[in-house]
Amino acid sequence: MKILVANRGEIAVRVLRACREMGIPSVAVYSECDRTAPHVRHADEAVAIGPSPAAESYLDIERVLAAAAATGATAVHPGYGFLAENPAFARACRSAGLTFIGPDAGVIETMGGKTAARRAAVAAGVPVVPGTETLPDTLSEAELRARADEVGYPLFIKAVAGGGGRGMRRVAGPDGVAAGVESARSEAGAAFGESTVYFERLIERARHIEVQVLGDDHGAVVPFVERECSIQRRHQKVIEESPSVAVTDSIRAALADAAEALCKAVRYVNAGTLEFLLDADGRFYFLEMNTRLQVEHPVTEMVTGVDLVHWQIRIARGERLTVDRRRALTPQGHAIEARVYAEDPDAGFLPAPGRITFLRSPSGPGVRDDGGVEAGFTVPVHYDSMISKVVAWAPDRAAATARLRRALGEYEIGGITTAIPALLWILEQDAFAAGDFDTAYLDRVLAERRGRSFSELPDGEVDVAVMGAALLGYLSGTGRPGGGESAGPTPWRRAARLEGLRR
Amino acid sequence: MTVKDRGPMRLEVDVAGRPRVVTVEPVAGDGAGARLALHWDDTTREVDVSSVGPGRLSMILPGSGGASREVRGDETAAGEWVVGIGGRQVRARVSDGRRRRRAAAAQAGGDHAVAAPMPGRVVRVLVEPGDRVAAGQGLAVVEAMKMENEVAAPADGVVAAVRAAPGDSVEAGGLLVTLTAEGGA
Repeated sequence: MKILVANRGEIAVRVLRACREMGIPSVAVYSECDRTAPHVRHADEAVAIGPSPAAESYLDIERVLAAAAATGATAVHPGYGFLAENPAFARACRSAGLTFIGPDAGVIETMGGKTAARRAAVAAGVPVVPGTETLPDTLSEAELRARADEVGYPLFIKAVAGGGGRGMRRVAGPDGVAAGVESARSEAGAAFGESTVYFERLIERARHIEVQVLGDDHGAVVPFVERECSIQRRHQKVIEESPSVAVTDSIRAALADAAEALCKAVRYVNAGTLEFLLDADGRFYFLEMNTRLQVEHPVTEMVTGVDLVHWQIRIARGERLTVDRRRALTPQGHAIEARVYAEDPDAGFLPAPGRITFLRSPSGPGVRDDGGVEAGFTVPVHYDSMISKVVAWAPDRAAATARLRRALGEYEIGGITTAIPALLWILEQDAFAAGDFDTAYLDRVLAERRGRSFSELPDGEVDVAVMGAALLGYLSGTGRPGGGESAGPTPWRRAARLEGLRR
Repeated sequence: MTVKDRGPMRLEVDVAGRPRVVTVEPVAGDGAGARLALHWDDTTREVDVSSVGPGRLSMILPGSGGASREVRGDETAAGEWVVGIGGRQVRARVSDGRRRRRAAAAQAGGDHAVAAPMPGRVVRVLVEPGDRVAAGQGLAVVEAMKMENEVAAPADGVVAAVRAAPGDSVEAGGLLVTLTAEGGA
């Protein structure tokens, strides 16, 4: 086997690391702006696949397949995002004689298409959230409104091909339907090349709980202990953990049985995740299935000791799944992941691409940093803003939270702003410590802050910041003829001046 | 150049929205970093400072029982800093006073050049020349990192010119729209 990783960033690095660990030759692909990206160097071979816009590189099936042909790769790992849930890509891989490390194209079509997955769930006896089928583009505004009225408000408009909150709109009442559909279609069309949408009732005060599964070619399916992903900003997951404080042993067993039943019904093979909403009364509803590896897979790995990427590759080789079901459902300790986005949390989480001048990632006991960038790399404007995931493991949730705070405090990323101050703030909240939150929690508390800075300094630290700022200005030559002030920021000269302090 | 060669300097330092006049004075510059004294308001602090990498300083504060702190600074524009300290990102403005007075003079005109806050691609332009807009009203939508971000009017005004079109790539600071301030705003 020789694996081409059809992705970039941290997930490409994650998969390429697994290849190295398993002694499997690997191929990276990269776009123009990713020539110096770390994933290129984690692979044995690397192939340029086109310009920076994803549509002309990472989303271009022909170019990815040409790279596989040119390097003699025999298998393709799609990561997540990009082509990972594109049945045409899975089919094209198989037509080209390549092993697609994921489920069959037909299963991606069924389970990746949200409305088809709902039908499959209903057929398998798994409860679903009330909603519509896909809505044809030909429907008039009045017809759209009638469908929405049937579902009931508040509701979500969701893109069939959506993910990560893109192509999704919340509608409070009949008046918002037409405008919401239009903007959801436009955003989904731009992000996924597929603008079809549907309606789904919004379950209030619900938690987002998901179940990881592995299935093999021989009919075995193993469900894993749940992940809790309710800490979301605009439907984009921010903090994930396993296990969930809201899931009792009996709910866990029921979730596992539902996931297993649905996967067996569709003969699911390889790694996948079933997303559920869990309401305040402990009832759960199947939402959708992600027919791929998830961003937050490390929390599951850390509480079960199962390497999900190794298993994806082994399953793709036709091996039998030998993960013990009881072990997969019995968490050892607690793991929490925080997604580090290149954003400015004090400017409404504005994307903050740019050149990373310095990077020190956290380490030490119980800490895992899955990063995709390094110092000297320019975080591109073309792709998702997530640059790393920090995961902390500890025997219990409180200790894992404390450890994650410690780790995020160690993270130093120079040159760009990141959402780390906001992550630390969330982890300090009483509601987080108590596990008392739902999917609307973060947007609610962020709105209550009214833009207050996440980097407010505690008493005593203000003096330290004043000294730090004064010394940075002083040592970089502020106010001197030809100094930083008139010439603007010049990192190299500034570095040279600061070097003057070295012995 | 060593710290001793620099001599004292008077700086305007604005941290967390409060300006202070800070005097920085070298005390000693021995082999292992430098000792400086900082004065502002009624405060005098001595600090042992050492560079630990580009834009990164280790500070030890003998007056606080040897408190050890690391700060990291990015100068995002002349005199504008983002100071990283213990997982926080604090905005600071550091100048010798001349630049600030120039900026204040430039601002007095009242017109607004509305720029892209980050690099990206213009998705939509929501206004046309001559449109009257209110503060906070969306002027254009810029996509970066797969997210659409609306760029809003900083003040009430009339659109004087539209400098971007859908599909354009813009850099951070790239001009999108110019507004002429409203008399009564």
